[in-house]
Amino acid sequence: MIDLSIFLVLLGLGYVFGFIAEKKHYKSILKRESATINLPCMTLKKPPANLRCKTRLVAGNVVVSVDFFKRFLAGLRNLFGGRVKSYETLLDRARREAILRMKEQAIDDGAKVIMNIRIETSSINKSSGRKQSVGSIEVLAYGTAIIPSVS
Amino acid sequence: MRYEAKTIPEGINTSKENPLKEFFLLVGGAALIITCIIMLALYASDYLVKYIPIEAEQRWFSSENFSNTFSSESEMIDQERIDVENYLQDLTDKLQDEQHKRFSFKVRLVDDDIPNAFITPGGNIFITLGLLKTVSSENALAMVLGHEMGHQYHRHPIRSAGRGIIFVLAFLALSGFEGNEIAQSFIGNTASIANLAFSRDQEREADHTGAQLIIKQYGHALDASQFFQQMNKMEEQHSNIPVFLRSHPGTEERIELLNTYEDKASGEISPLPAFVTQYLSQ
Repeated sequence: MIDLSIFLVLLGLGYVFGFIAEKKHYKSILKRESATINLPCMTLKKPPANLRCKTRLVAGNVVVSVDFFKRFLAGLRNLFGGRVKSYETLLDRARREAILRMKEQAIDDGAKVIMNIRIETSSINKSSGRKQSVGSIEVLAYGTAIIPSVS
Repeated sequence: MRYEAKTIPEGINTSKENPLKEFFLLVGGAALIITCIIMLALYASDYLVKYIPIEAEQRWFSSENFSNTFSSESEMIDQERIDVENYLQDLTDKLQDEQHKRFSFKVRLVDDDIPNAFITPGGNIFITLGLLKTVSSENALAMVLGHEMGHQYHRHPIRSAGRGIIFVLAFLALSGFEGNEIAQSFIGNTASIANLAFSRDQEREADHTGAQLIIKQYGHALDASQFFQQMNKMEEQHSNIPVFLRSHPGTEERIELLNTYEDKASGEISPLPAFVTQYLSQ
């Protein structure tokens, strides 16, 4: 009985705090996205020929953790199959945050466009123990910032 | 190539659905499935347990396993107590039915002042001192013994034990096999599992069988309801209801049932033997 009530408390805490954190994060993401919207990010590999510029590697990475509630929901989905909607918002936030951080680093350098951007995801602490362990993921976004030369 | 700044629309990679809705849907579905599986297991156990031969059941749950569970330590050489136990055993043997002669019972006395009588798998009947003090005649005592025998004739004890095993297994499975203490206490204390409540329908069946057994033995069912009437009075006097009553149909219902048998009967009521009343008054 104690186990069950501890479990429910964790579940409740996970839901409440996860929900609050997610809302706050999305607000911040939307604000910064509209602020950096004038910096294009492209997956094209090569800049146009004859462009005189400086290039720099820019990267943004973020580590986001799953809360207990999301993890439990995903566990149930493992039984029944289907879209794991609880993870979808998590990964969406992580990816956008990583890209934003990369953009912010590029803007700092005075870049006009970021080319050849790639996104990598890796998980930390995933299977370090029992099913009660909570995992986190790290998203890295990197690209080549094109800084036009003055002359 | 031209670049046009545009905000990406939301909701493509995510879903606006409230996670709580998904949570309750999945948990409800999982709970429903688990309940169905457990109910299927219970029905299967109830159906299959009847095929355990009575001899096997009596071997597995033989009286040696219960030898010291309910008796006090000082039953060493109390001859009077042994005489009372023998009397109970003889009475039970006399009540035995021809068509159920494969069933054998072992009756034991329990040193408890609360009136109680129960049966475990294997045909071990336990009667408390308190119950002996409450019955006013041998007929009433025979009714109680016949009732317990009726449970065994209908295989109620082994069926309850089977259901108990299903519940323990389900609990073990759901708690992730961490419940070693549970497994140990189950294996080491079968008596408590066997001592489960029987459902009300089972109690009614046992009442009918008990009445039939005493009619066969005494030719009538007079005084069969005496014990329940006595219990009814005690119920009204004390709020402290004996455990015996809690899982059973209402006492008045049982008295009515037995009165239908008594109405057709006439005969003598046999009192308890003198040596029994003498032992009880100690």
